[in-house]
Amino acid sequence: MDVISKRQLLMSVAKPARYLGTEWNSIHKDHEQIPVKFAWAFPDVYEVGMSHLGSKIMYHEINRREDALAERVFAPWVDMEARMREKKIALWALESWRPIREFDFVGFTLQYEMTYTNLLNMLDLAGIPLESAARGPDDPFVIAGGPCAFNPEPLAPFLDLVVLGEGEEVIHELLDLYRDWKLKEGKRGGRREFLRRAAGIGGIYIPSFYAVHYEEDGRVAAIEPLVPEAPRRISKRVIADLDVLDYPTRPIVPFLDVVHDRVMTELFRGCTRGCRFCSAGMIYRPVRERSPEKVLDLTRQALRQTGYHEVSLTSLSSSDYTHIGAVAHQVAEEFAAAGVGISLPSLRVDSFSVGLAREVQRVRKAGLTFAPEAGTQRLRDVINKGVTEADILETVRAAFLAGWKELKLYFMIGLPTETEEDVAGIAELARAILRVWDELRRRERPHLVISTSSFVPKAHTPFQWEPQASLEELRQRQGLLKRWLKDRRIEYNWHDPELSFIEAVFSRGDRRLAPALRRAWELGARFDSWSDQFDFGRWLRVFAELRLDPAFYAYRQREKDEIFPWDHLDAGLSRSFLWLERERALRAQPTPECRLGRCTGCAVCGNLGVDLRLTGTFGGK
Amino acid sequence: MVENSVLLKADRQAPFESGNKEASYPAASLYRIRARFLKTDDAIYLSHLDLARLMQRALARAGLPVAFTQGFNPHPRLVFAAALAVGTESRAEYADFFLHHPVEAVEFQSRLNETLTAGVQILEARSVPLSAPALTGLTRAADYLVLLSAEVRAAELAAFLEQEEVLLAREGKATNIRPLILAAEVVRGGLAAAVAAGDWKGGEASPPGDVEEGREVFLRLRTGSQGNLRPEDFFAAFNSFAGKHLEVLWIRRRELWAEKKGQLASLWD
Repeated sequence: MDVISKRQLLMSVAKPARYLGTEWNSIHKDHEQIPVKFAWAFPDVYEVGMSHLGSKIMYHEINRREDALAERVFAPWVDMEARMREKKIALWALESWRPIREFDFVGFTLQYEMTYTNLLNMLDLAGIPLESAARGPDDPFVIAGGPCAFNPEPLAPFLDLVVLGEGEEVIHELLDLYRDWKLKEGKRGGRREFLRRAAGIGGIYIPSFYAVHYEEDGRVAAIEPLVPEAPRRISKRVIADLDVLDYPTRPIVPFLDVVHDRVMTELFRGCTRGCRFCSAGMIYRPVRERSPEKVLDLTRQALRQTGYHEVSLTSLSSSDYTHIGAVAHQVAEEFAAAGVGISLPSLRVDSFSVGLAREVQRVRKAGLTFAPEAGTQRLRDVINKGVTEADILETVRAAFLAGWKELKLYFMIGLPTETEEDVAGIAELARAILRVWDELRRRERPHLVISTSSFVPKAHTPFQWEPQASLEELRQRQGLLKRWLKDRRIEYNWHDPELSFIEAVFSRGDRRLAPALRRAWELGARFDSWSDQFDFGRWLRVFAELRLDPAFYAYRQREKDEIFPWDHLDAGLSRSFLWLERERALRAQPTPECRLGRCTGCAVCGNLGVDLRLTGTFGGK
Repeated sequence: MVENSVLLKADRQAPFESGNKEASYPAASLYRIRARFLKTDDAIYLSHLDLARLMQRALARAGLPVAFTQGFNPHPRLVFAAALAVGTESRAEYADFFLHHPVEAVEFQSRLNETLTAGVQILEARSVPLSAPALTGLTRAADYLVLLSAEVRAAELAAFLEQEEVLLAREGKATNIRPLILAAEVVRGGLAAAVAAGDWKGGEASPPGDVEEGREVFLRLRTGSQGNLRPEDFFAAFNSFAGKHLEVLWIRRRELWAEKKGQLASLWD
């Protein structure tokens, strides 16, 4: 595209910097020299995708290879989409501005169910046939991974291949296989032959190699492998030792202000606190820590090679890292004078401390966020969030004393066994926190942000059998909180329960929902997670038109032995462990965490041949 | 974020020169470097804030001893002469950098250029006394070369300029922008060819009065806190006046001007 036309295109849309591709640390290889071309597709806009650590890791992992290149592609915003359709510009990868349909692979990361229509839209904009069965020898392989890959069934007809679990090793096995098939065999046997061979790689799932049969009442009757190469169950891949990985120390520095705009050093993977609603806590086990020396070394290198002034020590629960105090202190010591600050996302109330608070606030204070999730001890015990009110108040007091006056607290509405009393508990907790502030006799006013989202039952968790709370219930409870939290010092945010309802349909959905995704997309559904784009009525009309009952997916109580649409996909957990946890939940019985010494029997270590890997003694409770 | 006259704290160290803890500089020893830089290629599409962020990170990568502002959100201290709108290319952007340790201007330029990308490059750098007036307040005018989608006649431009009042709607109010227009000429500068060739240097304007009709226009417009007009707005007003639908295809800012005793002067003085 000539420079003048490029300017015309970019000046006709908002935030043209989303579409450029020449950021610092972006990798530009010669397409003529490289046989394996991978378009890494994040199905949301640039600002969201450029905050995603997994994408940075895989971009680096693929580009490390001399025989492969990885380039990025994001979902064009609606204004750019309109221009592209008008001028017949096919979706292009940022680094080379080449159409992604010319690549060998287009790989999507499935982070959130409500981005599925963006995935379809991107394929359409790229000129790639939506259905796997309709793709020909010149079309790329459309593959997917990420957390929702543990139940990708609503996308099954659109995906050629799915990767379960961590990608750093399996990607090389897949690309080695592809390179040899392409270069040495001239793609002999066609697409199906490649997929047959790929099915033999651990962690790889080929949806077209399975047929799903249903009972008359709609439940799954069987998931049947159709070819000998397709295993009955596919187990996720897991990296045993994170220290051996070549972690990216030259992440791309975005042109725009993105959601998370800082060095991200991954402290550990997995979380075994055992919160029963949490999908991530279940599918990323076991916990494997990076050594503190490695964390520091990676951080230093990344700061030097990016010029960022902030570091995020990242994980599912960073204050649980066994060396968090020492590492935070060391980073602060070395870099505070250079104006580099630390941020810690995802803090647990019961492992936060004043000492940690001080390290984090040395250069500039980021906000503090905690997630008690439930307002009463009883409900916290149900969900196994082992945090007591005393913990919460003590932590909040420590934070206030250390100088914070703005706190954000996350809760969920609609958890199993929830009553109005539990919702009232949220308001009571908020008031108790304000009393803590008052006792400190500060002159200023605190700012307490209470944010509630609606619980969505997820696959592979102890709550995968449970119905979601009804829309009426969710709306009613949010309404109550709105009244109870009326206070100048409190800001109450709530998430749209209608969006959560649709999410609940797809999170435990099966293949029969694929036409609904397609139809909703045809009718204009995209960027559903953006409140000004989401159209609830459209979804309901689509379900009605296709004679699908969303309540079947979102509101049904499953039986103990029901076959789930994701039963052939294995996160390594024992199903009886999940059921047992569900039973304990209903009795409000907490389960202590395995890092404290006692195995809870989730079976992941034995099933996958990996171990819990700590670099110190776990200090949690 | 980028305009801040708070004096830094003395113990800020050069980034990533690890272990250099014993260095401490007296509060008065700040060093100021003024640079003229290029904003071309993809950098054209970065907003002013994006550009400031880009510079801050490049400075950190280059290990240059930039001073930091104090306060709630300390950031590297740099000051720009004038914000550039998204979509405008420029070979005359100016910024002042404040360092807490002396660095030769030439070295500053080469170290920074090594780590700048996407069309941002330092073209010239000089040490400037701390006592020199703040860069932000200095800018008075800017020169542009604009490429249009169709021809415009010199006579039409002249007629447009003859008006005492040229009204443009801004934030709901009609403002007279005529005093903000210092010059507007049709020129023959080879801008179209230069842009097509990726040549940011090309596009010299021909002498005034030479060209009767053409797609390239030279503009000298008021710029800065005392009055600011962008080329896009100039042509919006012109289109209104002449009943035309000229589209701006390219804008190249060629120079920024200060003012001394009623005359335009270089920002270097």
